[in-house]
Amino acid sequence: MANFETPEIKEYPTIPLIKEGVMAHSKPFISKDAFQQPLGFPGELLDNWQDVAIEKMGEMLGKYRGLQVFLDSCVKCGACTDKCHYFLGTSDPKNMPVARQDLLRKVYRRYFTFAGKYFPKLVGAVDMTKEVLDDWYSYFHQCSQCRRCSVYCPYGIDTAEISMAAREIMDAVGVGQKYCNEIIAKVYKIGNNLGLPEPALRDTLEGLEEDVLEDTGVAVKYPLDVKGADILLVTPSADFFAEPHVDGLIGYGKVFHAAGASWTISSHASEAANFGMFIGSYENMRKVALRIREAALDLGVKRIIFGECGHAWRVAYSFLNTLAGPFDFLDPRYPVPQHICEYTYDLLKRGALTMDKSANDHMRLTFHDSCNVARASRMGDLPGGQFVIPREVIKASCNHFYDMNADTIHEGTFCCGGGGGLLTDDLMEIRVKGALPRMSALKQVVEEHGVTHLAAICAICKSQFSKVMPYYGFQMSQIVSVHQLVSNAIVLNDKQ
Amino acid sequence: MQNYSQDLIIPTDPAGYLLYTEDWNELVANQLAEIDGVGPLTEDHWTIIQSLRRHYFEVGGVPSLRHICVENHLDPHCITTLFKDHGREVWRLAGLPNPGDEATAYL
Repeated sequence: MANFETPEIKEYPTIPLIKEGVMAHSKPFISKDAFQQPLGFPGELLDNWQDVAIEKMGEMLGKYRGLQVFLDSCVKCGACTDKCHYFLGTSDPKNMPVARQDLLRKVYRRYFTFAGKYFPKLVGAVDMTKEVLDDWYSYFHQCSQCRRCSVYCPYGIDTAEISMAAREIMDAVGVGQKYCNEIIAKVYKIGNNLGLPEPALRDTLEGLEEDVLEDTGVAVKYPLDVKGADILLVTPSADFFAEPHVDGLIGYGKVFHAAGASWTISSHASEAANFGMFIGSYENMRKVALRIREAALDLGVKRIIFGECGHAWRVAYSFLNTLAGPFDFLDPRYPVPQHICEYTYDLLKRGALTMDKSANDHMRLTFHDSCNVARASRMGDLPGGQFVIPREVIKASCNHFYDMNADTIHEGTFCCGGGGGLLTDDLMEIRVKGALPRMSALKQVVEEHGVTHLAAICAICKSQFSKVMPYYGFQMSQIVSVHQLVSNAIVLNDKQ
Repeated sequence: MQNYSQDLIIPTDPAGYLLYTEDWNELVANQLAEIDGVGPLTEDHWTIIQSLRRHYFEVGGVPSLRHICVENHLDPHCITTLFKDHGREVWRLAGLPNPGDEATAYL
């Protein structure tokens, strides 16, 4: 299938012996001028790029105090070394979180610390050279910003923050990543990552209405740009397009229908994803997020609900209010924003939904906690709600649910291997190798409990799994949306 | 097996999608299918290909691939079984332009 070897799933998880430089060749395609300009970045490597890079680093150190704390506080204790899925899958020591941080830390020390300025060799400080930049481009695109390492770091050093800073500096000197930057440019131009224009969106939603009517005999609506609707649903554009994502969207519509809710999708904010976060660019993240505010105001909605998307939920839950708020024009009785799982869970608790769990009896399920939901947000009004709520929704929809090994779920969850802006074909090797820990945990529940399907609430996770599972002997159809399970189980009637 | 002459091969981009959508015709689709080991194309293949083209050229995008199957009274997952590389294959055979990195990631 490809010119690299898929790692072997061992009987129990092992920490590999290091193999230096084995992933040094891995790098994504470089962004072209046409995708750099709309984001405010230079189109190619600047002549004075060293000066610009150091200046940018200085600016960020002043702006993001956490960054400086993270760069200063590492004591090289080694707790993080075996926590990164990319290290476990590749054996490349530069994929140990501490080594990844050091790629930036050594430059920081050279230009911003006393010891590094005068005794660089003593403190491992190095100049910002082209070789360093190349190393950054390679290894900061082998980090999915999943933050698993930060859970085990005694100082809470967040490698994701450092990785985002490095990508921001690279963009500032004109070395952007094609995948992320092309997509952000597409959001500005068309409104969503997939580039689906309004007529295509309308065609899609009408198609779904026909499908659901044919399937259930019930006229469930999938409304677009309805002014005065109560709820604005913001969901990743993958939900309009591919499986299993679209089965999830069908599920959201059925839940809204059963609840008798008035809701709409917006063609202006037809994208929950916000790749501005992946490239560490506050300005671009804000510009993308503002589209949601504009749509909410324009349509006059009272609530905002997010569909199944991991990093979008981090941006929504953790940053939306400061990025695009205040949302004082929304109904204060509801959280801003809400997750679709939270919404469905509330209805289930109130007994407002009729569920026939046997509709999913052909599946035995497990749940993959998506990193941005698990470690960078919460859900509902209880601590750990981001772990409890999706599982409760699944359990209300099926009879057979089994969790994976405790070390690999909740806040210790392993990344799918494709997050953080790496979901592109040019990074397939690192994506496949990074999926190893999750695939090992999956194999265990498959063998012990006869699990047949993996459910997730993140578009990137779902797409990544559908592409990499075949490398590990699974089938692409074994990944499902949580609201696909809801969709199968929910009992609708025309009176609703 | 039919032997297509070399000069029928039309330009594609590195990802395998037609460079110029107007180059497409049924012969081209057949030829691509043969190269990819999907052919010979059956009636169901053609139904999906034509349906995809109709939607694309009407509204500038495609509906969910699931819908394409259902509206033609085929199994909702028919694209998975009919086309070897799934969405990407049908996109290539239908002669639609490269949909971009993100759509490709989800196809």
